[in-house]
Amino acid sequence: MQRVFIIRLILFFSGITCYGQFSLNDSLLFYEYRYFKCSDATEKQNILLKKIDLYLNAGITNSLVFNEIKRVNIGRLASGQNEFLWNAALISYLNIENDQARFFLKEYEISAKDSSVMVKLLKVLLYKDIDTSISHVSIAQLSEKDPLFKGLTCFDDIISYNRKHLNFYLFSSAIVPGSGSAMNGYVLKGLLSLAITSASAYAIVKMVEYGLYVNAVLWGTGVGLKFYAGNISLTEKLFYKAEAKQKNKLTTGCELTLKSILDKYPLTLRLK
Amino acid sequence: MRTICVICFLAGFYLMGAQTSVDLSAQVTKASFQQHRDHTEGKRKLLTFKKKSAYFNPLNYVGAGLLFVYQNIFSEQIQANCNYQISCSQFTKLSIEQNGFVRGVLGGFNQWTECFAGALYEHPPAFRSGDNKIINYTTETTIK
Amino acid sequence: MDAGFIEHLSVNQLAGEHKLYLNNLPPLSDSTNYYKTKFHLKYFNDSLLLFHYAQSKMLCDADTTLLAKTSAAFLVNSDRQKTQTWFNAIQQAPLRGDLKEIQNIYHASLNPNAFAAEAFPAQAQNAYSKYKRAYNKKPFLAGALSTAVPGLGKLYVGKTRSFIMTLILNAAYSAQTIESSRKLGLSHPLTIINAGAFTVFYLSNIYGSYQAVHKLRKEYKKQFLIDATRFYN
Repeated sequence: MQRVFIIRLILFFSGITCYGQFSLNDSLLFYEYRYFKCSDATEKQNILLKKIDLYLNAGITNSLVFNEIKRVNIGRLASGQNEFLWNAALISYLNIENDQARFFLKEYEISAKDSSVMVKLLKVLLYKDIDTSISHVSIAQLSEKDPLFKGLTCFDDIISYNRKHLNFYLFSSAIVPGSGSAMNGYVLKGLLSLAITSASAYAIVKMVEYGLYVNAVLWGTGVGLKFYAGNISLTEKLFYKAEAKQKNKLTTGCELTLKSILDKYPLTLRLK
Repeated sequence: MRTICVICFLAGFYLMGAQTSVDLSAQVTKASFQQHRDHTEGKRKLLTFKKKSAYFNPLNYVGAGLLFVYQNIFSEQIQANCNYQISCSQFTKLSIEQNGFVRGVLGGFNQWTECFAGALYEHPPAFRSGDNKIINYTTETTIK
Repeated sequence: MDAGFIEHLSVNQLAGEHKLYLNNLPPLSDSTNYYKTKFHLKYFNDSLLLFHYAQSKMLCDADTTLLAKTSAAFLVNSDRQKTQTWFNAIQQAPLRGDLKEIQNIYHASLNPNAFAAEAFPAQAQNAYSKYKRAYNKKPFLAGALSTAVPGLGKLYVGKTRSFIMTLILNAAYSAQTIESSRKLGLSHPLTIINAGAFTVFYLSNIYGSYQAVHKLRKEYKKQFLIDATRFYN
């Protein structure tokens, strides 16, 4: 009896999941057919909004929803324009379509005249990489409400972080092979560069001493010079690697800040 | 008691599934840092043998060891800027895996001989990538 | 069945709805299989395409545009076995216009000596001529030429730059080996290293020349098929 009950329970849960999936796909097809048959442009947009709501209610925010959003003619929307524009901005952002997201957010601001925390927060996220003056204004306004938002300046720190004096490291490696790499924090790699370049130079000098001029020229150009030039290019590579490492550290810190902000002020979709 | 445990487990599993599908904050965080994360390639792996007979050839172990040391230590010490999509050492490794030690090594050295800028124009446009590298294959049978 | 709606789903790239609509149609009907063939051509799936084509052969054979588009898609398909199955399957279909030309392209890709370059679209002629030239080269001759003079086999297959590089490299290694063996003796480590390097490069040049013929054939064949497909798309 107990086993039968458990099996029924499993069937019930799997039934819910499968039926949910079937009903979503069927509904999408149903609305698409209505859209196809409909001749009124305004009604067509309403049907598309219903399709988008279906996706969003099912927790789907991927490119499928974004493609539906792109089909909507904003000028023909009779109702639910503000909800659509907000959702469109957020979904576009989640799909890394930031130009579209900025367009929808701008339209939303004009249409809804909304200056809530959510709008400003999304604005900061959308403009952080292209126009820091806009994101700074939004951060300042948000910080007046809650100092927690001051932490959003961490995006600036990531973007503006640049290591300086690359030429110094390169010059250093040109004079003493491996020294630039060591100064970048990679001491072992620097020491290996020094050892290899010195060994190559020693071998070439010995070849000249033994009168092996062809060997000296060919090994010198084929191997010795490659190691010397390679040590300089390795220094440059390690310089940028160290920069990326530091940026990753800043990113991890910033991620925690954003998470704590989103816990308190979550960006939510406007669902029907 | 056992029934209650099963019910709790299934309900938890179902709710967890529902929770992950609508975790918008996590998605926003992911989208916000997508371009700031640095995805540098990790260490290159040791050669693995695909044919059983390869395990009994000691030369394969020598080749695997030498290639591992070269790829992880020496490759960055020289200006190893290969103009093939699969670099010469990686090509040799894959070639040994597929064709055995002798053919693999010879194929690898042959690619190294042809690793110069002008070699790009000896291949038809379909075999040149966008970043001006030759799209190469470890055997001619892998060209589809 | 609403053909207009199927077209609408196809134009708007609504793959999910498109698939579901087709799955809701009677599965054994010729028309369903015909539309499923079209669906699997759009979202290319060679196995299912072949399956549904076989189920609705009559209807599909009447649509020469569908046959031509599918043939063009199969020309560049990576699964050569399925490509062969497709071209065998359409042999009874009425071969007109583009379809006839595409089938000739497929047969030319198997045996380039059977067709002249002029039989194909202008943009595919260059690759075809090169494919034909590579097809008629002999791998063993390339290897033998490279044994006589390092790199000569590469010149034979048309890789002039590689010939020069291989010749220079082999000459350099042989010069090094000769110099070190004369001045240090044959058993000196440097001579052994130089001789070893020369041997490996010399043998790799022979093997490489032999392989170059096979690779060039494949490369130009693929280029020819890509150029031809571009023309028909």
